[in-house]
Amino acid sequence: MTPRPSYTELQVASNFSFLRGASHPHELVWQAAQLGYKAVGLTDYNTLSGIVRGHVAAQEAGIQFLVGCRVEIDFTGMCKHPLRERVPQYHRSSLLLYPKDKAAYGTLCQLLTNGKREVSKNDFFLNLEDFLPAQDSFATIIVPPFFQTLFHHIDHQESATEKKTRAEIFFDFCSILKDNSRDPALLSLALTSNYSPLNPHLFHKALSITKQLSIAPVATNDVHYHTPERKPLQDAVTCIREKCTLQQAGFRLFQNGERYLKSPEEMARLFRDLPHAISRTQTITEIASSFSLSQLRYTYPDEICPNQLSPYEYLHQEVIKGAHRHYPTGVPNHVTQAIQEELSLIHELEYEKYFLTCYDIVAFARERGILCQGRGAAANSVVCYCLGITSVDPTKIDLLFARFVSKERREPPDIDIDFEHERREEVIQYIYGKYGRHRAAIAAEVVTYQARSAVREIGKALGLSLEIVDKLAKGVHRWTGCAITADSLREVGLDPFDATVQNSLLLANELVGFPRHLSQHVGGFIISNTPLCEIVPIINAGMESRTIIEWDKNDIEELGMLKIDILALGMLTCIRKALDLINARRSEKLELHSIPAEDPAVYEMLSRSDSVGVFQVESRAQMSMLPRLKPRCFYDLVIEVAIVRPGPIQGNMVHPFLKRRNGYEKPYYPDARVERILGKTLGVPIFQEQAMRLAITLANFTPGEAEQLRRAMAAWKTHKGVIENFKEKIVRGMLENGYTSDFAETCLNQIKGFSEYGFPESHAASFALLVYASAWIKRHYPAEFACALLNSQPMGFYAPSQIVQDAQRHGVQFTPIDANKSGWDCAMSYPGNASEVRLGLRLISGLRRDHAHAITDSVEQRGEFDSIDSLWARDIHVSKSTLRTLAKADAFGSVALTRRPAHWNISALASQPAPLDALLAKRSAGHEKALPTPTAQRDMFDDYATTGLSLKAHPLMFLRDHLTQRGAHPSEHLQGKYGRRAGSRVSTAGLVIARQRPGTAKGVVFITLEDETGTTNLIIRPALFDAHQTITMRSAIILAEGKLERIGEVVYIDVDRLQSLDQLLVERPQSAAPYSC
Amino acid sequence: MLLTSTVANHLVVARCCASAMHAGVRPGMALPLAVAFSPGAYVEPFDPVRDCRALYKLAVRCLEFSPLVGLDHELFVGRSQGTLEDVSQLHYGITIDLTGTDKLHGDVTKLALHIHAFFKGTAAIAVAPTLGSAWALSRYSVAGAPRVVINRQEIVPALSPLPLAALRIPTASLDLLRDVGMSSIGDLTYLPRYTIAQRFGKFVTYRLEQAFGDIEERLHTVEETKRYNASRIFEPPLTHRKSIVISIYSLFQAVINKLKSNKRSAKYFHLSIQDTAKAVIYRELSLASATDDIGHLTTIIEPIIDGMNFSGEIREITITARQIEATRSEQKSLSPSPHKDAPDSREKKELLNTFSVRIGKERLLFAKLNQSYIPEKSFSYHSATDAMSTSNVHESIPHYTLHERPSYLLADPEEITTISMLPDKPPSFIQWRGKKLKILTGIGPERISPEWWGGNLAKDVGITRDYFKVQDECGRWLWVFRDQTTHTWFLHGMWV
Repeated sequence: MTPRPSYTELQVASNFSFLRGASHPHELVWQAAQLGYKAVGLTDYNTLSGIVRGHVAAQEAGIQFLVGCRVEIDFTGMCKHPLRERVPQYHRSSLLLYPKDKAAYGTLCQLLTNGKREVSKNDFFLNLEDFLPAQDSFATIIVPPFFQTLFHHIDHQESATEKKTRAEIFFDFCSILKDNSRDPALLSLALTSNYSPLNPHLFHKALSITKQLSIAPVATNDVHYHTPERKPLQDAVTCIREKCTLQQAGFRLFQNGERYLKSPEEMARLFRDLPHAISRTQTITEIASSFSLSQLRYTYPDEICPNQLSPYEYLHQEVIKGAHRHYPTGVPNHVTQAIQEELSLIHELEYEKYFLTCYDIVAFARERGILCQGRGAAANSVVCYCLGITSVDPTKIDLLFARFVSKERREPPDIDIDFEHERREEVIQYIYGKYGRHRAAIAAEVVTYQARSAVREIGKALGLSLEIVDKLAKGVHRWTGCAITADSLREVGLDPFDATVQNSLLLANELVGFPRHLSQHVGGFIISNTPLCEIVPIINAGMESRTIIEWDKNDIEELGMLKIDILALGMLTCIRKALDLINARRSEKLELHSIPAEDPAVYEMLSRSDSVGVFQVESRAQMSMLPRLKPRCFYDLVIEVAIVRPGPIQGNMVHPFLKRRNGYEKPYYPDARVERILGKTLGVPIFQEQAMRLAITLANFTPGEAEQLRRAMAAWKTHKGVIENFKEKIVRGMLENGYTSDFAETCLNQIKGFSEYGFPESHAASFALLVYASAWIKRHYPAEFACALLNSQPMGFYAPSQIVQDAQRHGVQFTPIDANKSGWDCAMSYPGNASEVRLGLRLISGLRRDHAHAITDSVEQRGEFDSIDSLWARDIHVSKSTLRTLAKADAFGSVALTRRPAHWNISALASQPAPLDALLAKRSAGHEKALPTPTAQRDMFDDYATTGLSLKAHPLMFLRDHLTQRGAHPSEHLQGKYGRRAGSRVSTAGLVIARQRPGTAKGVVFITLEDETGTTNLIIRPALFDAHQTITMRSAIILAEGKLERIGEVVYIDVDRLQSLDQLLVERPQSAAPYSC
Repeated sequence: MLLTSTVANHLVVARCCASAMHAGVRPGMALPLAVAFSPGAYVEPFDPVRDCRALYKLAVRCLEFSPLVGLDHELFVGRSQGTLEDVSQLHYGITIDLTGTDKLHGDVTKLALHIHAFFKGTAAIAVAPTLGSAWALSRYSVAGAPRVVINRQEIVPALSPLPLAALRIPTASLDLLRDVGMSSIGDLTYLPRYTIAQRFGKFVTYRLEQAFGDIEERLHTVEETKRYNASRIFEPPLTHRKSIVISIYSLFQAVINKLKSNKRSAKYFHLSIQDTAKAVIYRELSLASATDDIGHLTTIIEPIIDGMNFSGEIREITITARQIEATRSEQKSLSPSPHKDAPDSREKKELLNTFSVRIGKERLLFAKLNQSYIPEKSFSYHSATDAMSTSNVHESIPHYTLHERPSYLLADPEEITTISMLPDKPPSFIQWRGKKLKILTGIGPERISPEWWGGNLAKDVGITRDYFKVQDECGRWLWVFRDQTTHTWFLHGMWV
């Protein structure tokens, strides 16, 4: 038997070479391992974004992974050839670079960073001049330019001289590199044998170059996919990249399907005449394998400890300080004990700097008065509570501390910090300012192809017409994203057996999950002590003045780097604004942590589902859960937040829990151990922590393994195989511990339910705190709460109109927007004992903030204006169009002008303020009497059009007579104790304010209607939805008829008849011509 | 009916008919949505240039009612500035100046009914003393029978209930007017003109005054397209062949002169010769490219006339030119053209014209290169018209594939039997059409993958071929390939 040839594939592009490669890095690595490779390289085009995944896969597969990159070099500047101006586009050549050590890797990252920072997003430019000084850091392989361009005419007008020139230019390029290289072992020229017609010529030419310059040739296969079966997909992504169809693609496609990962034997056979090109791969492998990603040592930033204290001392000192602040009467024993335990663990794992970095950021926010709240297992530790990172007292909630410190994996803890959404940017700029852009950057988000986008792109590449592509994409449901069935294809009018349609679906299915481009993560910050660009390339984000690294959060975790999520949360803005409004009238300042706890009035309000505007529990699903769960204490809110999630719903946990909670069923625990874990949730696992703990206690998992299980669950869809190992282990472990296989199966299913959407208790606790705080404010200060909500828009579930109406139902008075009286924000006033909200100019759509301020400032300084003319004459750089916008919003009530007369006055103003205007305006002033008065309906519509709400009337008021005739009930008749009986047939009408079709609801659509008296919930079953898709999805006003259902005090209608009433309200649009063609 | 255009790779509705509008369709809506609103609607791409041309033709036909027929000002501007996509469908209208023509038809109402019938009742028609008021009434008040307003005094009451858009004013002004609550033309009449102009722009009063007849409005008139023909009746009839031939040539000369004086060329000529017995001889000349050169034309018609047989007495000869194009002015080069084979050289065009007349246009085929790796798909034949219109396509195709392609390709690959030793090696013996050929040497393989997108990926997508260029004992180079699926060999071409 012949010995296995020693070959390493060194030219490999994965799908992180966007729209070039057609295989995932892990697929390539696993395939290499299967083919018997001992090592494999990865050289994506100008990027390192795929290497972490390759590295991880190689560790699992047990082969060596070589970190490399295919870099495009521009050598126009150094080319001395007299004809170089004639053929500029051929002055780019590719090099495969393999860093030979850690420093060289840093140089590579730096080169890529430089090449990407200076050009627009997704582009890359690197000069040969800039590369040469770094050349000796790498094992460099020259990739000959696309061989046709090198040896053949590109178009028929090109002369033979130019053809020759191009070959000469390439020769020059090689000789420059050769001359610059000090170590001949580091430079090679790639030879690829891919059954092309010109192979003999190419080989001949390339070999002559290698001989002339004595550069060693090296065999590669220019791999773009891991198996030959991916060739069609590679063709398709080429078309997506070139924005053409396969029919048009022509020679932009590869000629044949040879660019797959071939076995070492096959490569040796292809290069049987050039054995030294095969053995050369081993030389390069040796050089490249002296660097591995595991050598990267990430270091935490240093500058967070003052006064020569060690990080541990400083952390200890601050924690103790905080503990005394929280417990002024003396720190309880169990807290002291917990602090000691946590601190020693942190010390052991050297995470002090991590906590101190978070502490630093939170301290900055606090100093600026920015409300913030930490989240995550680590955030809900006693240490974080003492540091003020979170306001949740963790000793009251049982948290799995081991989760954030799995000793085995030495992974950094995970803390997310929410900030006020309007002021998060200040925090981000602080971080950039403190650590510098070279040390702080945002993680990337690898945007992948989803079912819809994949079908769309593939369909286009296959040459389907846009119309059919649309139909096809429609077949993939927006909400569910589930696979396309033959029936759904027939439904949209396509033949499911058509070859092109089938090919599209087949390829789209493969394309799903492919990275599409790198985008900015919502807030994951990486901060490092050494320049980040030596660890990972930094690229420009789509957003101005943002830079991101090339790795996403999983990659970062994999390499154990510090990541802090700086997130934006609208509710924090709202709470801060509400507290400010409340505190303006209170002697004793109210703070987030000093809001009175466990107020029964708050729970009573929530149990009534009276939760518009309250954090998290204002959604439709939460509102229907509240009266069933009837929260009575803080922990109930924690459960409430976590239970209305796809995870628990899919794991069938909601109903058992409710049954037990309401006393219809007794909790069942097989033994005391289970009871200890699941006791507080009545035997139903609701939180991720419980699932992990079950695995630890019942199936003998170590905490580290449990953490791995959680991760595997999170990536259930992508790594189908991985989870199977765990499944077996869980069942085996539980059987060993004496549980029945039935019980094991149930547990497993519940754990599986968490796969995609499980919610950790620590997050739920942080959220529940905000639920309670916002509910408390709503209960006790409804006016201030509404005002703050309006001032924090856009956020939450409801539009300003719903917020205002809900507040009105709670007795809050509103006064309209007025250019003289309103500020930019909505404001509180307290005439007599009442609370009144003056709507602010911010509600006016299309009004610029600086223009609004020009007016409010002028009113503040010079008093109120008495006419539009006098405002115009103030000459305060307010344009006519701004005045028009104000007039549209009917904001001139204080100068006794309604909408139309205001417009009339404005239309008479000259383009520039001038004294003469007043005269002219007077001359035509009388005519405004001639203007037709708008109907009340028109007036209300105009209000809605500019401000999204109307204090004058509700749209449904104009239909009420008509509706009464048709037997429709106003919402208030259906609600409450005196409403209609459950099971009776009712009909009602209203403005659609919310539509939802949750993936877990099996196609049921939930609609919320609003009329002048309140809101009504509708349930639309799939059959009805299919029959009335347009009405369900588009109508603004709906008349619904069906059976009234009741759960506690919450009422909904199970609809069986639907009708759109849009045509009754919309006034005839003037622009539409009535004649028919 | 929905007319669609493509915006950012999506089909959207560009224009739609009133019934689609009624169903909820709006211009700018995505097509699938629009189809959901009005299922079964007739969908066609929006082509304003074609529509405008058709309307122009229709306007020309209306010349039978009056010598002054015009198109809407906006349409005219859009046509001359190339911004037809932005012209609203309301401006696709025809204006006929009926001044003084009513007497021919009895009275105005009868004339209006005539015009109504002329359009088979499909047009919205209004007759009014001013262009502006007729425009407004036809667009905004007509249903069924034509609306006729005869006296100037009637204009104001007729227009008052109409919406302001009937004044043909820009949307910006309409928005301003709507903001102050103006909705109909009548609303405007309560206000002094100066204040309207001051507040909403002079254009509003301008249009108002045009509609009420205070200002004249010009008509953008259409003209009938010229006919390029020449005809002569002979009294007494011609009998001598020579004089007939001379007459034909002189008539051709006359047509060409007409074309030249209007800077036009023609692609199609029609010759009809009628004798005293009313028998007619037709001859058609369908050229590959338009010409206005009598010399060139003569060389083409000479052989045709030579082959004609005139038996009787010739009474009438008519020559008509069709498919008229604007003559592109070309500079005649001072020296003989260096690129005689350039695709649009005059010499080449003339040669093609001659061919197309001699052998028939449909038999004149051009080979064209296609971007395909599959040898038999890498070229195709196209008729003269197709080839001329897409003549520049092949310029972007690299020629490299030709280098290793045989000069003669069999119409279908022919199966051969071979003796071959190794994969990736040429055969050592082949048997083709019964002959055994010993192969001396070979180059290859060149592997070509099938164009899978024609088939079904899940089933069969065609075969991968390995091509070899092989030389037999006689020194002849043959092109053979091995089907990688069945391992059978084929001969596909040879170098001759």
